[in-house]
Amino acid sequence: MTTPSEHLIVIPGEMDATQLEGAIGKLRVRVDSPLAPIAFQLWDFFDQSLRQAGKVLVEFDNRFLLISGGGGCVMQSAQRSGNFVSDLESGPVKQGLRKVPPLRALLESGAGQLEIRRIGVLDSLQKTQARAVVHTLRSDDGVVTLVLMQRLRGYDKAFAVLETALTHLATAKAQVIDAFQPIRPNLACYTTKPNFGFGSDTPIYDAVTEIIQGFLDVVRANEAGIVADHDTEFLHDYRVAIRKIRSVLNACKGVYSPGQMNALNQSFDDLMAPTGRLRDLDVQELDQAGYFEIVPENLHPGLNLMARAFHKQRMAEHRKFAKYLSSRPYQKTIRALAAQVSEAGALEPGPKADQAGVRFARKMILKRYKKLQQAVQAGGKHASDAQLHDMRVHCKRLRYALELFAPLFPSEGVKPVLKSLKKAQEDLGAFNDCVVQQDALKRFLNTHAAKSKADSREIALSVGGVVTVLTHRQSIAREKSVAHLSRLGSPEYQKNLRQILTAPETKE
Amino acid sequence: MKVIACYSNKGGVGKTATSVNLAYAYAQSGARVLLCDLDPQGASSFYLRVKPSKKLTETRFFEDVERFTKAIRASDFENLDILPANMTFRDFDVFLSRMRNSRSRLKKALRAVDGDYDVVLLDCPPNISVLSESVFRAADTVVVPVIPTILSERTLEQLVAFFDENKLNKRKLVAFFSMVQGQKSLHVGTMERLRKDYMKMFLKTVMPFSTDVERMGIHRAPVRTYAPKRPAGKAFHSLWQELEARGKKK
Ligand SMILES: Nc1ncnc2c1ncn2[C@@H]1O[C@H](COP(=O)(O)OP(=O)(O)O)[C@@H](O)[C@H]1O
Ligand SMILES: [Mg+2]
Repeated sequence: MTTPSEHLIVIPGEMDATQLEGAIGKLRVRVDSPLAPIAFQLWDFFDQSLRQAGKVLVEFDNRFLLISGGGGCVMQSAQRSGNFVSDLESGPVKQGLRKVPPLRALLESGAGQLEIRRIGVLDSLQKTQARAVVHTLRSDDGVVTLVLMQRLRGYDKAFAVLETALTHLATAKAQVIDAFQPIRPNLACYTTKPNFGFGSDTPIYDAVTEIIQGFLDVVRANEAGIVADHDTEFLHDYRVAIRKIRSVLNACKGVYSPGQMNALNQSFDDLMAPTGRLRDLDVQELDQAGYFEIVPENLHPGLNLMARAFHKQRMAEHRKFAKYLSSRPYQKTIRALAAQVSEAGALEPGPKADQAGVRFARKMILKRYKKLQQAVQAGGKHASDAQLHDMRVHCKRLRYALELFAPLFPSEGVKPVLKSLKKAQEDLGAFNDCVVQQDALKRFLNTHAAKSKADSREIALSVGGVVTVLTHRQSIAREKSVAHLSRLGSPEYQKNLRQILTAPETKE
Repeated sequence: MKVIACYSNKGGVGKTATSVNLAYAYAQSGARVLLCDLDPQGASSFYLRVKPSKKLTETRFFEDVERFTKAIRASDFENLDILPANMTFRDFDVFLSRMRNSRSRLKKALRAVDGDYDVVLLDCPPNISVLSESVFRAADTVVVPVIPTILSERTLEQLVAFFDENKLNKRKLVAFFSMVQGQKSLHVGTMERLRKDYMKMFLKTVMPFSTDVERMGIHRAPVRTYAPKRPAGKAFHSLWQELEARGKKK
């Protein structure tokens, strides 16, 4: 037998090798006794990009097996210096992960015991004509069987016969990932955009509860990424998910009892509060890279001094926040909240709980629109910073409401309405960033104790340079925002909005 | 890739037994091995349970290289493949010369799944005197089993003379005593004499006459798979060790 080329067949559940007899003609199956069970682990990234690509990464016996969606597979040594993709030895598995950012860490997504058995297909001379290694992966929850077929030179026919027989037991190739589902049933799917099952006839109580549930999952799915500090996106997504929940609660007075509403608001405010400082520092670090490009080189030393100071603060703040996320009280709180939200009827209904979602949402969205309209009118062409800020908040509220309750309305209509809203928001966001950045820089100047007078002069010079550019940018963003906003406030936009919101009723 | 031929112009001296067991030993050591069964009787194929390939007898080798290499079969042992070729003498000649030519289609087609074979072992049929020269040129090592009798002594003399006449490299020749019956004074005496005459040619390993070797026909597997601790099993292993050591010295 020369070194075998491998071929994988995934079978849901256990495989009964005796089932192969009869399916392989005159040949016979020999099943060796199993080797002592060993541990296996399933790996994925925080955002489950492997699973979403239909791939599975298994580790056992110090080897990685990467199974692609189509059922193809590659193997390499699992020797590694750490869990980042860049820490893996070079080989076909690393090659298969090349699209993953190198500083993304592998996280365990399942584990259990693996039993390995060899099976052979023999002819009348007891000569092995085909061979396969059966890997039975058992977790506390379920079983999946991986059969690695080995091609024996000169026995293509027997290989094909065995392959056909195994394929009959196997899962359709496109569903490899589904066969793994039973062994990690509790793995929540990572996404920042949960899929909601409600529709136009869902009562508002159910729709809102489902939205909260969905985004609470998003909140939790980001925890690991924040703790591991893979990317600042996790904290951002964590916060956006909480913000969306708060926005929904805010818009849905009467869906829950006042007491319930207060409790929920309090819970989510409490979740949001500790995130602010770290997010500010993240943004600071992200922005800083850009500062080097907007001021001349002679101002870079000051920027470097500032960057170092911020980085130190950020590291400290991240440590603090990661500790908080991993703490028992936090975990207990969030688990209890998730349990409460997902238990049917556990949230105390309010007077409007039974209203049809469509009706409730339409009224609420129109109300939000009106508020935006008023804010736009109040500000006019020469809106103050405070007024623009106001408009930005109302824009965001309207957008969240439209996005979150979109399943209630015909989707073709919502898209264009959302699009112009998004555009306005982008400019408002750019405007706001300029404001926030300048504030942060000024605060830094006022509070930071530089090591020397020379240092503090360098920093002041650099910050001055940056602020000049930011002020200029701010005024451009302001102009663009005002233009977009006036379009949002127009009767035409209002007409479109009304139309999509009324569409389902005319259909009824 | 190194080519090892098990050769003797006498039949029944243990060429096939040696080929199969050496091939197994090399494969066990991690080398990728192709055992070429050049005997029309297909004895080594029989020992590895591989059915002889009927089609090949009708195929002129040099006309259809692919067809030939398609006949290669994986044995039941890791790293060990077998070419159950019962080819005509003429084909055999072409086979040998092309095997060493790195640009020939044969050389390419012979490649194992993941690269070249490390060792190609030729189990030569008896009575190939016409073609002996091709074997000697193609092989890096010619392993000659010698039963310590007067007749074998003569045979070996002839072989060495042939090498001299044809200016072949005599260092390729590696002999060992086969089917030795230690209680026979004739064997003992002949061995002493031959060792003196061909000092460097003989390996230290002595292959005893043993029913364990004969039982290969019943087990249809290399001796070490069923009798690793018995004298014959040990002898095949040390035969391999000595050949390996010699190969490294070169
Ligand atoms: N060391 C040995 N002891 C006993 N019998 C042997 C030994 N080597 C080979 N034989 C037997 O002698 C016969 C011929 O051996 P074989 O290897 O086929 O020789 P060759 O290939 O040179 O014709 C076979 O029946 C084989 O089992
Ligand atoms: Mg023979």
